[in-house]
Amino acid sequence: MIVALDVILFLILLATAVLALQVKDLLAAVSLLAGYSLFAALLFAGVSAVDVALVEAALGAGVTGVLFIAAILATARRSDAPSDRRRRLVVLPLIVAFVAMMLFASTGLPDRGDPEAPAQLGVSQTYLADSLADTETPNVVTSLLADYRSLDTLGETMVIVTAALSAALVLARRGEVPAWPQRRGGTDPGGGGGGPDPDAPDRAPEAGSAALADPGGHVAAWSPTGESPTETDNEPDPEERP
Amino acid sequence: MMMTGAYPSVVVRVTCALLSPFIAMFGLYVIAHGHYGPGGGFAGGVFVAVGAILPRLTLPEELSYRIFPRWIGPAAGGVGLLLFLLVGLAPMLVGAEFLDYGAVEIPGMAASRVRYLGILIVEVGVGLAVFGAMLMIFDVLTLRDDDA
Amino acid sequence: MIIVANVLIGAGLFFLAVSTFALLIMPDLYTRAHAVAKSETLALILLFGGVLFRPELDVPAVGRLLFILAVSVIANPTAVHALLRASHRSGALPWTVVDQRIADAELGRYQP
Repeated sequence: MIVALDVILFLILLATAVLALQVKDLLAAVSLLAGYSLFAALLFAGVSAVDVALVEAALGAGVTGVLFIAAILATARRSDAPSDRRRRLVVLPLIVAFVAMMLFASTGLPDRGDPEAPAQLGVSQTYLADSLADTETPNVVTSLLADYRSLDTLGETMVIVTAALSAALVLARRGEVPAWPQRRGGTDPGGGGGGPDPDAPDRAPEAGSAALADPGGHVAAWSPTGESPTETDNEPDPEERP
Repeated sequence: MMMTGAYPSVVVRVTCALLSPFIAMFGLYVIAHGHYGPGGGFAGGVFVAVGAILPRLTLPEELSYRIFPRWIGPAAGGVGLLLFLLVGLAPMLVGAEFLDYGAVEIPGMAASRVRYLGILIVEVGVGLAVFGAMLMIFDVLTLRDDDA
Repeated sequence: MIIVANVLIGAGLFFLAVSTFALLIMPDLYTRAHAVAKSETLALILLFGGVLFRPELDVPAVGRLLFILAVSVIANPTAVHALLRASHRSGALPWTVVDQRIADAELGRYQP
């Protein structure tokens, strides 16, 4: 690893994280998060954690972005950012205090690659020494994950499959949920159902006419442009704009 | 605005149809090569899932859902987890502890070789589970009422 | 051999720098993407070509490099194409300059 490169990557990482929190357009936030994951993967690769870097690059910069965009298309594109001054006044000192605490705690950590570090003195010596003889696997990470500590991996896999299953079970029923406005008395179909208000003055009128669930149950009704002059080759879909 | 289905640009369609098999193949390589290099079940499963999601984003639906049907997500997730559990249970049949692959005696194989094999099967199981989980989430996020 | 490799790598780095420079000075998304997509793909080809000429490489490494090069040369312009297509469809207009004299002439107000 090169220290200067690490510092630059850390600064870019911080910038992408802060920007992803700041932007109101969720699509831009997703792109920034993908960039964040890419730089995080570079940092991981810089400290020779190649396995983690590979997963971070594939999952964080690839699939998660697609899943986030699919979720945005199914819901609303703009976030209602809390612009409450008083809340910010409370939260900001908390964040500063937390960061200071973590920085202070990090001074007690051992150096990277320190052979005297507690993590190196325990059972990991045995793993490193015996992996090749025990399992014929040169990559100790793999033999650790899938052999010595396979119970942990089993738990992780169970968590992943269970999470995906529960997400599928919750989301697959969304068409059956009756639309909100009808439940409240039948007035104002399509608007005010938790989606962003298109008449809010601080938003561009063309970006965010999203209805959470219209009475017909068409959930993924997001039009990217409203009316744009170049939208001639869209498939005509009469259901798209409620 | 739908996310799945044929992408209007022929350049994107052709390129994604060209690249996605290679991405999926790279995922299989990462799963199988976890013993010797970076990778393993988690990363490889994600790559194979990308190879399945890319056709859904760009190709016509009757084609992309014929290559990887909808049922393959939950099925792969369950089969992968089951594979992991069965490999874990196999040593218990011969009286050893859960997930202690080395205790299973296969004639003509050293105990280390059996553990090597156990790691390979576990990686394949994890890869299948991750692939299934990713595909399941994507499919249910892009689900429409008319094909529920 | 090494001289050829270094010249190619240097040319690749030059085009990378040019594309970064273009990213900074160009006025809008379309011109930036145009500059970056073309010069960066060219820089990629030159860089990989230069690395291929280095004597340290064995045959499997050359194969892997060629494969990576093929994938990126296919995928990079396609990604830019998809990006620009999406931005055009969502109504982003390209940057234009209004020449005051031509505009006046079209409006019938041109006096030489």
